[in-house]
Amino acid sequence: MTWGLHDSVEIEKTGRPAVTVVTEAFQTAADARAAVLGLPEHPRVIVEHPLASRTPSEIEKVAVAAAARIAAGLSGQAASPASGSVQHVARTRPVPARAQRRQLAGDFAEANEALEALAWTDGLPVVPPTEALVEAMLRGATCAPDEVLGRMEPLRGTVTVEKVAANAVMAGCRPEYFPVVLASVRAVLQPDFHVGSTACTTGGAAPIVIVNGPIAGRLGISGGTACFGGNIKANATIGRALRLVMRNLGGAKPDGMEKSTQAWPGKIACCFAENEARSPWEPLHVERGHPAGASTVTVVAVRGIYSLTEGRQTSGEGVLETLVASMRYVGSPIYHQMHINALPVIVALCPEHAEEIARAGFDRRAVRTYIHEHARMPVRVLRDRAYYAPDAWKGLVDESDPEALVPIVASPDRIILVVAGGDGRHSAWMPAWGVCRGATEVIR
Amino acid sequence: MTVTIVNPAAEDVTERLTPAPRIASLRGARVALIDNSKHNADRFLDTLATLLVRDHGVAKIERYRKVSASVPTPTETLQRLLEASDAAVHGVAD
Repeated sequence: MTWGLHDSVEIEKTGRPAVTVVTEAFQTAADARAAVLGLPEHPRVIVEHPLASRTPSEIEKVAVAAAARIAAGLSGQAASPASGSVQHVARTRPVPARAQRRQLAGDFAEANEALEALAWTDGLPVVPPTEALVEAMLRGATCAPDEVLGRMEPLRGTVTVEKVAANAVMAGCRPEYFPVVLASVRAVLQPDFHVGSTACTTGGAAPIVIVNGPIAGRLGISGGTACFGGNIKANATIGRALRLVMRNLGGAKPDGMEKSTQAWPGKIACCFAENEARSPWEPLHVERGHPAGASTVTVVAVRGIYSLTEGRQTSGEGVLETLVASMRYVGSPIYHQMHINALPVIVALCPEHAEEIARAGFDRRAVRTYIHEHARMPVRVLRDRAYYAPDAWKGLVDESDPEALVPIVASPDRIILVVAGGDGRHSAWMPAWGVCRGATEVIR
Repeated sequence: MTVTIVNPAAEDVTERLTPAPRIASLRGARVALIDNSKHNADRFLDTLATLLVRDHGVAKIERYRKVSASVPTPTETLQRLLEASDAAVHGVAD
């Protein structure tokens, strides 16, 4: 929906009329998107929802009922302004360099009620972003408060350092966490992250922030026991700050653009560090060419965390066999979209599993290659399931052969391998959603 | 007690564009149909194409199917489509 309205407004800008057909479940989101693109009166023709589950004859009926309205939207009735006055270039009034100040009356609880009423929270209590706290947060980084980092899709709010600081205060961050929050926001603003789609997709994707380098130890960002959630202030608040920025500046809220069918709790917060101290290999950022002394964030929008247990096999290879068996998963669109969209998958091995795999002679590259070669499913299983579409594997797999094996990602370098977690024998994998290629930023 | 807070949300105000003029009549017009690639969008547009030609006199239909509903139509593709079209329909967004 997000990009349907985008395309239609682009068409209108060329001076040609366009109509967007929208199912009724997406009407509110379409209204918001059309308005932010500067063309609230762009004609939308609303049809019944859902379409995907209808029979061919039902679809035909829906189309017959809509055809006259679509034709009317393209021709005749709408006003045609004189060509000289037509403004076809989107413009946004410059936003003030510094954020607006507002007065909130009352104590902490009352201020929270007011912030909730303004729809600026995620439903949990926040620290009210007072001027003093925001100033303190800003001192945690070296950039100017009015520096613009970009526009946050889908509703295209201008992301200033000061706005990020206000959200970091609300999330409960300490000022020293602020450089990690800023790097995470910069990563999400990279084109490869596709935040406009990943923030509001029905698929319910949420960003996972992986921190590498010495900053994790300095700030107490955990890669050990319970690192994916719970009890760790840095992990919880950094992840939450990113989500609040996406929500408050990108506008992906449940009564508007946010259209996750179910979502998952990563939409509140999900941030962890690689457990570099207990990894038998070099860390992720070093493998990717950064100096060991640098610190990075890697952010990927994923559908969820798929856990696996291997408590009996201890040979290393046995662990890998269980891992790839769990990745041969029907219902995750990654198999259908990884090739055309160059999607990655995160594999987070617990220290005990990683140690055994390393002892069996695997380095990082060998692990990634093994996963790529073994996490595969035959065409006959994937065809006509999930988001299957013809030609999804063109040039990679011979789709005419039902036994041809489709890999979970297009190449071994699309596997983001990290060691994470504490004692125990539980690892996890996390498939990127839809169009999110993931993005890495150096923490400055 | 009153506290002064820093607005954490977007303050952008988009200036409104003027819609493109509608065409006087679809009779003889060329219409582009952009398929967002979701299941059944193609069937919907198949029927729509038939009706636009049969009932509204549309002369020519151009079709394009996106690789994913979650991406914009590539600029060059959009340009090529529009060079051959007088109006466009994007469907079906769900």
